[in-house]
Amino acid sequence: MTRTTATTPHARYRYLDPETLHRLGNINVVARSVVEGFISGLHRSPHHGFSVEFSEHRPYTPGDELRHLDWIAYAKTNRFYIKQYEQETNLRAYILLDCSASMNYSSGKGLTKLEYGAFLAATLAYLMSRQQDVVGLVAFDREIRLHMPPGGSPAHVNEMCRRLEGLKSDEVTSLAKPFHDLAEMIKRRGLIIVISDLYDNEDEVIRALRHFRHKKHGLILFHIFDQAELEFPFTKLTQFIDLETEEKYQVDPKAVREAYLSELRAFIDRYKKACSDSDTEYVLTDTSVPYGLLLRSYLTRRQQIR
Amino acid sequence: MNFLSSLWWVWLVAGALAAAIPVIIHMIHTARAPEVPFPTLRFLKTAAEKTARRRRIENVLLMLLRMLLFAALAFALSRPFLSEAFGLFDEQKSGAAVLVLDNSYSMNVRQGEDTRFSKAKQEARAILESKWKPAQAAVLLTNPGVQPLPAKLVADRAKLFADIDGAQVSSSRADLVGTLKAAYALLDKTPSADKRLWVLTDRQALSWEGLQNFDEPRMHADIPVAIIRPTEPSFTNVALTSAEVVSRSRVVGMPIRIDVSVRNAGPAPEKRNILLFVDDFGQARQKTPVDLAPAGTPGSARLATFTHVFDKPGPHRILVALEGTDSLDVDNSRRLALVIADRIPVLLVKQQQADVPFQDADFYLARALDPLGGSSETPWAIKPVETTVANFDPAALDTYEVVFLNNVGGLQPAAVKALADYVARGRTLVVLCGSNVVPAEYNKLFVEGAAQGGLLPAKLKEPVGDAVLRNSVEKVTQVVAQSPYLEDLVDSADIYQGILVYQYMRIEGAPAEAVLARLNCGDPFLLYKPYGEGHVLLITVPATSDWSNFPVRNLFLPLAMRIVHVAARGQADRINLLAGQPFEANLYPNAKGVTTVEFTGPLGPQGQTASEQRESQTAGAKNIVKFDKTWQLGYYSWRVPSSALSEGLFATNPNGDESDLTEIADEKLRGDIGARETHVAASLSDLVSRFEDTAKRELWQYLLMVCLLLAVCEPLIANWIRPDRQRDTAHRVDGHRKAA
Repeated sequence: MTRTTATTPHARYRYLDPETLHRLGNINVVARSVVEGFISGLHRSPHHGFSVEFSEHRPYTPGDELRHLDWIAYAKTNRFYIKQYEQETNLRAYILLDCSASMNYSSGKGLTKLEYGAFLAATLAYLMSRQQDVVGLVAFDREIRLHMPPGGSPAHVNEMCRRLEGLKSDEVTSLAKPFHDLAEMIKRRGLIIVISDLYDNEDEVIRALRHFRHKKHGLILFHIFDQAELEFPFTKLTQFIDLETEEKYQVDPKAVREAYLSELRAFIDRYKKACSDSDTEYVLTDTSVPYGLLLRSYLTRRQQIR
Repeated sequence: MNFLSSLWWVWLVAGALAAAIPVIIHMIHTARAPEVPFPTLRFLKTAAEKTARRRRIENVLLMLLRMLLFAALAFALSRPFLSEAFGLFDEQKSGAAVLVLDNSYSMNVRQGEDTRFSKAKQEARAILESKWKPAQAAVLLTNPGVQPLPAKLVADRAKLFADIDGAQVSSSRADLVGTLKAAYALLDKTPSADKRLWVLTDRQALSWEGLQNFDEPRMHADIPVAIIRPTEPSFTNVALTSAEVVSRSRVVGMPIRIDVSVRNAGPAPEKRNILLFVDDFGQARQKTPVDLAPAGTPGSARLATFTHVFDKPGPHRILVALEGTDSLDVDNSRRLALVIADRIPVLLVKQQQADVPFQDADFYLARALDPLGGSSETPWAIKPVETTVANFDPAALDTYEVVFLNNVGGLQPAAVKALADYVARGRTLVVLCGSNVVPAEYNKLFVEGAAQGGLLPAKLKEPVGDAVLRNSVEKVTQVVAQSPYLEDLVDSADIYQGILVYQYMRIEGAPAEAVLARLNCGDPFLLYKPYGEGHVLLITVPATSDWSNFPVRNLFLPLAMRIVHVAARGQADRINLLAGQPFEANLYPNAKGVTTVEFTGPLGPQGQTASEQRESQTAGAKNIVKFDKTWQLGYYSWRVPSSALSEGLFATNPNGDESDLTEIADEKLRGDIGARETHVAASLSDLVSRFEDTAKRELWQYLLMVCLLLAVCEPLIANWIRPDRQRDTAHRVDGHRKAA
C-alpha cells in the first residue's frame, strides 16, 4: 500500500495556515509514552516480534531512527533513506478541543481561545497525518459535540478542518463527563491531546484526566488562556459578564487584581502538579503567543527528550 | 473664627458641595461602569470576597481624603482667620471701657498745629465713635487738678465727648500707674463681662514710673489694654527744671543769688539765653547764655546763676525764662516768690541790763549778729533787739525770726509756753546756759512742761568746772560738719578746737543725733532739736567770756549768723510750690480765730485771674489756712480782708522732672505691663489696620498646605493598594515570548 505523505498545505482551510505549516517544516509529533500499534519509526510499540514487510524508502528526516536507515541505499546513492514498512507508524491521537463558552474569549483583536485551539488542533492533525499517524477530533463543552474517529488521510484532515470551522461555543463547561466518556470509548492506546482552559472543578477534571492515564493513554494538556486572563490589565471599575453563565459582576479591578492573580496562579499550579504527578505533559500558553511558535518550540523540545 | 472674605458663606457652601463631588463622581462612575465579557467570574468573585473588607476601608479612606481635599480648598478660599490674640476687637461693641487720658504737661509738646494732648483727645473721640465703641465708658485724667472728672461709667456719649473736649493739660507730672489702678477699680465695679482699657499718652518713660510693681494688669487678665501713643517728628525742648533762691540773707541791699537748672531734652545741641525778670516782666534785668549738648550726653544740663540786689523790702516776683520758644513752652520759665526783709529781726533775752556795756551778757552776741551796730547806711541782714527777762513780751515773739535766751533764769511758765508755741510755728530758739540757769527749773519748764518730749534736746544737770579757778579746761573736739548750722564753718579744726571751756552745763541723756559738737571729755557742747515746725539749739555755755572763751573765738560770730540765716530760709522755702501742691499759712498770732482768707491768682477756668476765699482752722497756737487749688502756674497772693497784717505771696511751677521727654520703647512697655493682651500703637487706625492685616492669624496657608498634603497622599494611598500589573501576572510565558 502506497502511503502518500501529506506534504501540501491545505490553504483553503482557515485553520491551516500555509506559512505556519511551512515554518513547522518536517517536525514530528511523537509519542512520549508507549503507544499501541505497529512498529513505527517514530513511536515505540509495545508489540515485538511482528514481521513487517519492507515497503519503500523515504528520504531521511532528522529524528528518524537510525536503525531504519538503509545503508545500502546510502552506499549506492550517497543519500540517506529510511526503510518504510508496511505500517511504519500506528499512533492514534485524539485531539480534545474545549468549545465551551469560556473558550470564545478574546481580549483584543486577536484570536479567541477557541480559534487558537482550533489552529493548534488543525496543525497538530496535519502534522500527525503527514507522519502517517491517525488523529481524531473531539469537540466538547458539557457534552461531546463532535467526534471524528482517528484518520490519517488528507481528506480526513480536510474534513477535520472543515468541522473545526463550524464549531460554536456557547455552552457552559463541564469537562469531567466528556473526558470520562471518551476514556471509556477509546479502546486502543493513543495520545490524547486536550486543548482547553479547564474552567471546571479541578478535582473532577483531574480525576477525569487520570482516567485517560489509567487507560494507558499518553496525555498532553494544552492549557490555554487569553493574555488578559493571565495579566488582568483592567484598571477602571468594570462590570464583568461571565461568558458561560452571562452573570454580571461589578468590581474595581485594581482592588482585586492581586487576589485574582493569586487565585488564578493557584488554579494553574494545581493542574501543573496534577499533570506532573500523573506524567501528563502540561503546556501553558496564551493566545498572544503565535501557535506555530508554540508548537515548534514544544515539539522540538519534546523530540529531544524522547 | 472669622473670615476675611466677604463672600465666606459662598465658599463654605461651595466647600460643602465640593466635598460631595467625589461621592457624585463615584456614583456616576459606578453607574457607568463598562461591561466587559470575561471567560469566568469564578476567580474574580473569590478575589473580591477576600478583599472586600480591605477594599471597603480603602474606598472609604480615599473618599474621605478626596472630600476633605475639596472641602479644605473651599474653606481656604473663604480666608478664615483666628483673632483670639485681639480680644480688643472681638465684638462690635464692648461692654465697658475706661479711657485714661494723660494730661501731664509733657502732653503740651507741639506737633505742627496740634499738641500731643489735642491728638490724644482726637484718638479718644475716635475710640468712642468707632464700631468698637463701648456701651459704657469713663474718661479719667492722670492729673485731674482743677477739673476732676467723675470716676463713673456712663452711657451718655455726649457727656463723654464733653469731658474729653473740656480736658486741659496740667502743669504736673503724670501718674499713669496710679490712674490705671483707679481705672481697674472702676471696671471692677461694672457687672459687664466685656471690658476694655484704653490709655492715651505720649512716649515719655517718666509717666510709667512704678510700672515694674504694677500687678493690676496681671490680676485682670481678661481686660485687654490698648495704649495709643502717637509717633512724632523730632522735637526741640530746653527746660528750666528748677529755680532756687540760694542766699540765706534775703534782706534789702544784700545780693541775692538765684540758681537756675537748665536741661536740653531734645536730640540736638542748643544755644539759648536765660533771662531774669524781677517784678517787671516787660524788661529783663539780666541775661545769661547757655550752651547745651543733646539730651543724654554730658553737658546736656547746666546750672545758671543770677545775683540781684533788692532795694525794697516786701514780697517780690521773680521770673526766669528762656529766650525763644521750642516744642514745649510750659517748662521755658520758672517763677519765684520772695519776701525781702528790711532786716532779719532777732530777739536777745538776757537776765538784766549791765551798766557797763562790755559786761553786758549780750555784748558779744549783739555785736556778732550786728557788727555795724544798727547803722542804716550800710545794709545789714540781721537786726538784733535786746531785752531782759523782766521785759520779755511773749506776745511779740512772732516779730522775730530767732530768740536767743542768753543765760536767762526765772522765766514764767507762760513765757516758756509761749516760746514753745513760737518754736512750734516754725521759728528758732537758742538757749545758752550759764550761772542764771537753774537745771531743775529749766528741766521742769522746758522739758517736763513742754510737749513732744520737751522743748530742750535733753535735761540739764549741774554745771561742771570752775569758771573762776579755771583749773580744768575742756576743748571742743568733735563737730557734726554736715549740720546746716556748721556746714562750711568747721572745715579747719582750729576754728573750733581753740574754744576753751572752763565751766559748762552738763547734759543728761542727750540722744547722739541731737549733739552737734562735743567737748574732749565727751559731754555735749552744742545740741539741736526740731520742735514742731521750728528748731531749738542748746549751748552749754553762755555767750559771755566767763565760762569759756567761745564768744571771742572764730566760730562764735559765723555760728550766730548762721543760726539766724537758717531760721530765715525755712520760711522762704514754703512759698514756692509745685503746681498742685497745697499752700498753708499760719495766721496766728495776727489772726487767732477762724478767719476768712482771700486768695487771688490764676484761678479762672482758662487760667485768668480770679479770687476765692477759704476759712482757716484753729488748733491751739495755730490758725492754719489751706489752699489746694494751685494747679495753674503763676503767682498767688493771699490776704485777710479784715486785717492788714496778714498777707502773703506764693508761686507755683511745673515739676521739672516732667521735662524729661526720654521715651520708653513699645516692646519694653508691653513687657512691663504684662497684661495677657497689651497693644501699643500710634493711633486707633494703626491698631485696627494691624488687627486686619496681621493680628488675624490667617489660616488659608495652613489649609492649602493640608490640601497639598492630601493631594500628595491620595495617589500614594491609591497606588499603594494597587499592585503593579507590570510585575505581576499569573504566569509569565517567557519562553514563547522570547522566541517571538
